[in-house]
Amino acid sequence: MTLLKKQNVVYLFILVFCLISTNLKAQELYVSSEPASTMPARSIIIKQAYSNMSGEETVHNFNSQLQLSLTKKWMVHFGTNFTSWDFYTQYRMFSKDAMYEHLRMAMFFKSINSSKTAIYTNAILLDGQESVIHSGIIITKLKHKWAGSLSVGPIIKKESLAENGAAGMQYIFSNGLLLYPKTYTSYGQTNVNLYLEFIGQRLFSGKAEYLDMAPALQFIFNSQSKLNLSYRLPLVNQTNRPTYNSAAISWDYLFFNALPKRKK
Amino acid sequence: MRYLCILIFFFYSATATAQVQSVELVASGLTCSMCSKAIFKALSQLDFVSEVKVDIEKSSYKVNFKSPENVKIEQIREAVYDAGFAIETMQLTASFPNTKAVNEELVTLNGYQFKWKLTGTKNISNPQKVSIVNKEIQPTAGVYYLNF
Repeated sequence: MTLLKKQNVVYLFILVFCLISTNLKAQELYVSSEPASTMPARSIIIKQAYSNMSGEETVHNFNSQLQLSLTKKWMVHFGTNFTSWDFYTQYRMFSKDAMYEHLRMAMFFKSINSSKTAIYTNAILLDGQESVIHSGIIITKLKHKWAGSLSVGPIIKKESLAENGAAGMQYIFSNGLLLYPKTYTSYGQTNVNLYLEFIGQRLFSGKAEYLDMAPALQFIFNSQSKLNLSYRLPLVNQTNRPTYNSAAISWDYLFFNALPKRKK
Repeated sequence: MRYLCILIFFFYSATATAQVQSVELVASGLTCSMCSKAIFKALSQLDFVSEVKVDIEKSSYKVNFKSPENVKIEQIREAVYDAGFAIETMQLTASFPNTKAVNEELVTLNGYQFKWKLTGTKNISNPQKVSIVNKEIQPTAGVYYLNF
């Protein structure tokens, strides 16, 4: 119990260190982890992320995204990290709203196309290092200042060099809490959200799996742009992933009413 | 004289349709200010809207209009749903030609058909604030039900 507490303190220091160092970034969690709610209809988000991925080797991963909301239920994202490009689409199929809460469900499809030669690994990498297809369901619950999201679905590596198999299941459980402000008086107030995400993967062969934890801080400026800071680390790592720690930062900006309305 | 009275009566009836002066709505499904801003922006860009006043904490929006004639209630509803949320309550402040509201009686408001949903008859004090009682602010058989 004492050792576990000491580990927590170490991780907290790492997070704080990352927060104050210039090498801080936010990464794929916010690319591969979306809530079931879609963006406001006809809006556009531009996003820039950087993650410093480390483990057996160090990888600097830059990802730029253009996200479009075509209707209130359907959005598409286009991204690139220079050696790969990615496409993501999400359709919100269920929505139940009440005062200060909601329950939403969406389905998604993601395709990452990498120009890199696939590497020998028994994990399916979502960082643009290899070509991958991933789809699934997202369920999101909002209740006052807390939001929880579960994303589940199959993931397939296009090229497999590992005898363990090229397909598995990906799970993301995301928790967010609004810390500040305590009371809203204007759109100009900076919002601070605290996140804790758990990202897991298990090959269908059962021969490799991981469970990572990623605490994060999110700042929302002028109720229109976001800055995300996070650190991802493994809790369970039965894989030979080349990188498994990641300090990440990302920034995005939303343009409201950016796409034309279809005349009925 | 009699014919003049009849003429005046018809003229008055023809021009005396109810007109919406402002709308107050409460949106559901959200907590944060970024979500609230999405609704605010969607309402503000409607071409007949002059101003939107928001209370972020209460999730309420007061919408004022450039001129009452061009108000389109279904576009107000669509703006909130397109932003990704739903309407919990919607109230209209309007001037009605009659001084009494009778249950199930038809009223025309900005070209929309409304029916009163009241227990009995009520006196209308103009301008009168009324609530739309239809689920999700969708008309039932082309009619919106109002009460106050």
